[in-house]
Amino acid sequence: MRIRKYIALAVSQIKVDMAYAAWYWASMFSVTMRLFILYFFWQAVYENKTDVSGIALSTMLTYAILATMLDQFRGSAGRELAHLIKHGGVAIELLRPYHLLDKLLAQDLGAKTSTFFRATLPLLVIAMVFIGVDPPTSIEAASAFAVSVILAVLLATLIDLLVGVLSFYTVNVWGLSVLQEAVITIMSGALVPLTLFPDWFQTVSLYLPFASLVYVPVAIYTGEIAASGIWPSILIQLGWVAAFFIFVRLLFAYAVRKVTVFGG
Amino acid sequence: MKRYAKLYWLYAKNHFKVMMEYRMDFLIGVLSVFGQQFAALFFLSIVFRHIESLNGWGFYEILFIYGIAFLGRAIHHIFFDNLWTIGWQYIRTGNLDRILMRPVNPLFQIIAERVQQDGFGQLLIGGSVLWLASNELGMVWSVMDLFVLFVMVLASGMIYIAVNLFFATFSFWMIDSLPVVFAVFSLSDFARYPMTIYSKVIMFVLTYIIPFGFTAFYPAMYFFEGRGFTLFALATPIVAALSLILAYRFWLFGLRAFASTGS
Amino acid sequence: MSQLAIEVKGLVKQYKIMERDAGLKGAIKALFTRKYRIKEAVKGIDLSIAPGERVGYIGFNGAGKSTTIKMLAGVLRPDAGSVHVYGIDPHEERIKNARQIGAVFGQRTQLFWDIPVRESFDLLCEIYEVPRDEFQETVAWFIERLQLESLLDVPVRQLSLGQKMRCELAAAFLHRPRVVYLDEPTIGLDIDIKETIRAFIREISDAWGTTVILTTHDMQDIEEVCDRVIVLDEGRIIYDDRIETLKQTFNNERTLEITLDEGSTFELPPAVTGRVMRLETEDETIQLAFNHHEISSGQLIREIVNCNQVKDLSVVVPKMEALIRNLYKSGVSA
Repeated sequence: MRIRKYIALAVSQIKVDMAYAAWYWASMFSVTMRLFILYFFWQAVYENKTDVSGIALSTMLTYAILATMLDQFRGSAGRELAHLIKHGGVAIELLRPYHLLDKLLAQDLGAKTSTFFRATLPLLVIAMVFIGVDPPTSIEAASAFAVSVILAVLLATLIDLLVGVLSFYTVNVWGLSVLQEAVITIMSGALVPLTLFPDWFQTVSLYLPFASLVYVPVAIYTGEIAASGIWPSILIQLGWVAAFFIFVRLLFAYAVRKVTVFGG
Repeated sequence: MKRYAKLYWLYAKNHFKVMMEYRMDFLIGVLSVFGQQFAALFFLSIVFRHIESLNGWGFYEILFIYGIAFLGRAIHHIFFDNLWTIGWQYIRTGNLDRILMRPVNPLFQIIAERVQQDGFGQLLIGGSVLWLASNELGMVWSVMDLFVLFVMVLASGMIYIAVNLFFATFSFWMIDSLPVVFAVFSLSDFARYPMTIYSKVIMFVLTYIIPFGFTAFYPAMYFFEGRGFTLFALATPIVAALSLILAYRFWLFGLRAFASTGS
Repeated sequence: MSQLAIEVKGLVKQYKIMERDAGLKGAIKALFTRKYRIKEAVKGIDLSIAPGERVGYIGFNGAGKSTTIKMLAGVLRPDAGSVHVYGIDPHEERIKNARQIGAVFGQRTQLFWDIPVRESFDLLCEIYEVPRDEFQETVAWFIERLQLESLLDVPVRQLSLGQKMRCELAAAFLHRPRVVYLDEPTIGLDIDIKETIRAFIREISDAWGTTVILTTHDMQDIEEVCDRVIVLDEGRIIYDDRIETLKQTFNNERTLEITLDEGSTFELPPAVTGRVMRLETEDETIQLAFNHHEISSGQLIREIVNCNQVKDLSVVVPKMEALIRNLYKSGVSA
């Protein structure tokens, strides 16, 4: 079975992650603190209000918590690819019996799976006990949320890989990834629901892939995106995933050909 | 003292030369810090599109608090960034041995061996935010006020430095205390908002245990009239000095332990 | 001057080694219960080294060499015994001691990674408060002897190993220290650079009366640089004498290497039993160690050839390398 070697790659990444126990506790603590800050912040915002732009406090907190969690799933596959390219490791990788992009994708998904079980689930429990998380608005919303999250995580990895592949073309990947970080933080809805943004901003974000990363899945969960909007939103996500998947592959294949012809 | 000033100047001069060699890295570093801070400000401004005040605090008052936090953090970031690396770059690698063999204070050497250019972005954005906020709040600055502001920002920086040094010192006994430092520093984000929005427990911790409250909120209170906390505001430089002394003592204690156990 | 450069009495250093089970479970358990194993790295060392002496300080890895040197440099505090470097207790007066010592530690650099060598030297000049004219004079001399001219404007990180080591050596001697500790200064270098480095150490030490403590695995270093050898094994000194004495002691040692015709087996002539020792070898050759005083090479060869079908044979005068190996053997049995 061909898929088995990719599973093995994913599993080995989980093991590597396990070795960093101290960092695990540190980042758990850090995210927990961030959740507390969010809690007190929104509590203060709603001091004399029952809703902000039509969103109730408990919905807003639920949104903030889920968005913070989802925001932890930005990958490191792109950085790894950039590293391989910069230090010449890519030539060796190309000789191995797998597709490099698939390998990185598998490893990244492995890391994210382990993050989910080791960090996200416990943090969710903490958030539920101390802050409170609303249940999903409907069973349909819950299942759509699950699908949407998977697509969002895939898309995050693909965008990351795109930046990595670009390091074939530019020397300064660091600058690109810095830009990517900032843009995603602001435009994905990781901080606040996009509906709070000015109208023109919301229109712009309709045509960009970033909302699919955080806002779409979380808003499906909280009911911000109404039942009728769920499937179109997921379709858009799917479109972005497909588009980025193909684009990254093409760009990679083209770059590899260039490298093998001109010797890098 | 004069000798150390001269030495630091020599170290710094070299850093600036290197920085000029890698101008692009410098720009991107500044930009990356810029991006992070900008995201935080952006978040705040979006929320304030929908509310008038946060627990009685206006947008520009909170910006002012942000500004002080940024500036204090910038001092720490630019000149004392190497405190983060004590564990893995000095103790674990044996570089500390090399430093101990020179006739100069070891902590001074560690600090002087790095100037973190990225922090200049923070300095810039902190300054701008402070200027903008004080303009909008209609603050009038006397020379005395400017002097106090300078002292407060310095004190804020000293607290970041003290907390960093104190927890980095644990590296003498742990494999590397960096995760601990990282975890403790995640508390510093609390300090950006008015402390009145938090529960009593959190206020207590941020005032008396890890004094991040004195990095932004309390010192800002000196400049706001009729908001209370004046005593805390005035205590800021004292708290900073005490924290630094305590952290340095602990560092010396760690250094003695290092001399008896090695690495 | 009757003062000793280095005086060490009854020096002891123990390490607590934390024992930890492998894996995550071990890491968590280690947070609560700490098990220690005590390892004695240095078990009572006495040393007197005169000013200007060049001492080869050798031993296997883990013999306690670097622990001793760290105590001489003031980085580690002795558990028992006393250390004095030109009358200064290195740990109690670390900074004062630091002014009079210099060091090269194989992999770690004294220089500053990102900045050109020249700036590194300038910085060290300030760190050690070397008078400007003295500094310039020293640097000029080092540039000539170590051929540094073309390296001065290159950042350290761009230097090759050999280039770096030459700069490293210059940095260690820059402030005209009274004692210099050199740990593997020639490891991994080409022969001609090794020669340059050895000559440099000799010349400077002669000119300034610098005391040199050299640890190395390269016996050529010892032979060419040092006038005294101290051998350390498991935290104790097992040999300490002039290098000439060492050579003389083993001067009469020889090894006879024999290759036999194919198919024949080796037979030790009865006349020589007890006067030679057969060494273990990895290949087909037979090696006999003997003392030139007890039985002459000629006589041994005659006896061997008489009762064996010898194809080839040669007499080898052992190198320092072998002498030292011999020392360990006798040290272990002593």
